[in-house]
Amino acid sequence: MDINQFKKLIPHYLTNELQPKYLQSFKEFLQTDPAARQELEAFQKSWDLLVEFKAIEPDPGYMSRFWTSVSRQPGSWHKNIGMGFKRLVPGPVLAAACVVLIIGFFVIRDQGYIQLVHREKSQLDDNEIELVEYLGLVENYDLVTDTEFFKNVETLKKIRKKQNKQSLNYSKVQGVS
Amino acid sequence: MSQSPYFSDPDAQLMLEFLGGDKASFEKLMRKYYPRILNFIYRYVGIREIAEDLTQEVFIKVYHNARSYVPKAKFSTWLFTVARNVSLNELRSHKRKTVSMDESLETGENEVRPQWQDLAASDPSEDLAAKERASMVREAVARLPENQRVAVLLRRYEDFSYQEISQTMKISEKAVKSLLNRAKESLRNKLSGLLDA
Repeated sequence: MDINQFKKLIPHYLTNELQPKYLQSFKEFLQTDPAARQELEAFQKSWDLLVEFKAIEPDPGYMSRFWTSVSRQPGSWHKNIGMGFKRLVPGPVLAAACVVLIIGFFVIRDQGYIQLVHREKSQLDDNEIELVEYLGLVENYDLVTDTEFFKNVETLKKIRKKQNKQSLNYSKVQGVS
Repeated sequence: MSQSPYFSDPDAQLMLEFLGGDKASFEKLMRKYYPRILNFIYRYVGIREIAEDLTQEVFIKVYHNARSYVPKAKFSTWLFTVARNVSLNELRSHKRKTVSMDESLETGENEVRPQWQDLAASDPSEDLAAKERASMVREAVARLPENQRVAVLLRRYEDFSYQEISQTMKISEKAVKSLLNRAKESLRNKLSGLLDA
């Protein structure tokens, strides 16, 4: 063993992890070579010297500073609930659930309306039902009363018919002459 | 279903009590760990003010993300993992901000290193030799690669076992031993000036 091999084994020796096959030769080299003893001491001393890196004391107000910081963070509990919910329910499942909810809302709303109409209708007699059904016409009252437009259409048709007839007569006269 | 052995960890119990709504349990945890986390981060980043801010950030993160804590390791290893991540993010962002202004920070090793303030100069009670010794030790620790530095801090100052360090750093115990051995060799070389004196 030389000093370089010895140096490489020192950390293992210091943590009692040197394999038995090296341990004997390591100890022999340590006893015979003064440089080896010096090197081993230097290793130990360098580890001990780390104590010179002194600890510091925390600022006395660290606890109040912490609670102030926590209270200043807005909506932290909302965030926690949101994060927890996200973890429990994956994104695609959440999107599908939203679609089902929206469709479900419209279906339930229409069903509710139909049930309401049936309930109201069941309380009416035959005459009232007939009256109610004709009430649909009232909604189209403006259209029904706007018959002027249809009148004009009829007039236009009559004029066109008359014109056609006249042109036919004229062509007949031309053919005779 | 078998329960995690870490449920019996008193700190894990406090955490579970806090999850049940007991804020006093969280305060107990803070009083116990705040000084340790502060010093771990201080030795990691090198500046007291930043260490104070980051320690606050660590506990705020723990407070808000308490529900993500599962006692599958000791509470302390989980807490120190959070502290390491927060510190690492800080050093990375600090490097990004300063590299353009100070090219000397580019080490070529893709390594993040603390920016040391001269604390010794602000403490008149220390004599000159002690100041110099402390400064050299701080510098030697700061110059260790990031993963070796974390392993040294946890082993030397927090008295963590190899298993606890491996859980905190999420590496094997064999890798932890290897990191520590290389760190010790490195420290021995960097502190040779003090050792020969």
